[in-house]
Amino acid sequence: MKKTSKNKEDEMKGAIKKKGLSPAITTILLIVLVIVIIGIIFLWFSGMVEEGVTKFGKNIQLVCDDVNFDASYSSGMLTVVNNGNIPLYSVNVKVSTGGSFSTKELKELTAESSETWPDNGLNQGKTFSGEIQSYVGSADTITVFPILIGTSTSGKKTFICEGEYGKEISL
Amino acid sequence: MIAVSIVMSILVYQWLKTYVPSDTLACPSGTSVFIQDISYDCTAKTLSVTLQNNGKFSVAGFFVYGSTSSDSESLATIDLSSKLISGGTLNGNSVLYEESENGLTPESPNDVKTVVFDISAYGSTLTGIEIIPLRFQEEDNKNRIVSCSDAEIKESLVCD
Repeated sequence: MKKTSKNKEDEMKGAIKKKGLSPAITTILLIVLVIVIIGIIFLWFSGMVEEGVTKFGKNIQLVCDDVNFDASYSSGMLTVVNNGNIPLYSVNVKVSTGGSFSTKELKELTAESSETWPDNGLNQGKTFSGEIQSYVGSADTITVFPILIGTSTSGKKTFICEGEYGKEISL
Repeated sequence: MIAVSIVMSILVYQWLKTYVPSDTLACPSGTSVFIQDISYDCTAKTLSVTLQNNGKFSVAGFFVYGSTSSDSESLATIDLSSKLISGGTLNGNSVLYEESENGLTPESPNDVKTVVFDISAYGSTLTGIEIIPLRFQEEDNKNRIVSCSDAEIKESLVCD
């Protein structure tokens, strides 16, 4: 009786083994599965992490610390002086009136005036004065934020040094 | 799995490496100049500036800006470098004492130098002058001009 049941058990095991996948296919399947999972995680993660933009071999966020410029506003003219060693690709002008504010690039604001922002940016020691009276109006403050240009995997990319890097001018 | 881990770690290393702070292009902290003499001749329409190097490091030249505003706090924004007459050479928008060399040394006799500007375009309207020294420094095997904004000096102008 025992012998017969053991035989049956062996037969069943044999049947199960025959229905399973071969070790080679399971290995390939596992590798494909791992690669697909890594791909999905990478795509998900890359959407969350900002694309790395570098300038002078450093992350452009760190380069913002080295920017040194001055800005003043008088008689409708905004003047920017680059005192440091980092070229300013452009600057953003944030105008605050009461509780509201709007931001525009100086390049855009002076596009149609006689004095336009230099195409290659404001290099060290250079100054720029542009007429922005119509944009400023009766604003309370103007804040000027530097814009830098760096390189990323997708080519040249601009970066705005926001927050503490802005120069606030009270009117 | 090993290959994937290695590739991933290389990518992460390259990305994190850009966040490591490195030396910035800046003048050494002992760089300093002062205006030994300034002569604003409104009749001859010249501005003569004598700088002395009172720091520890040689200086190549300077950026120079003038101001016409009566407000002493206002920015000097008029680039005067293009008005250079004598005492240096014009390099872009900067004035250099000697080409590709730090010509204003801390040691005598090269520690005092005078440059003269033609200010006929501004007459007697200039109220102040701002000078930012420059240095030639070697960075990545290149001789680069470095702006010493920490050593910036200002002086108000009155006709002689």
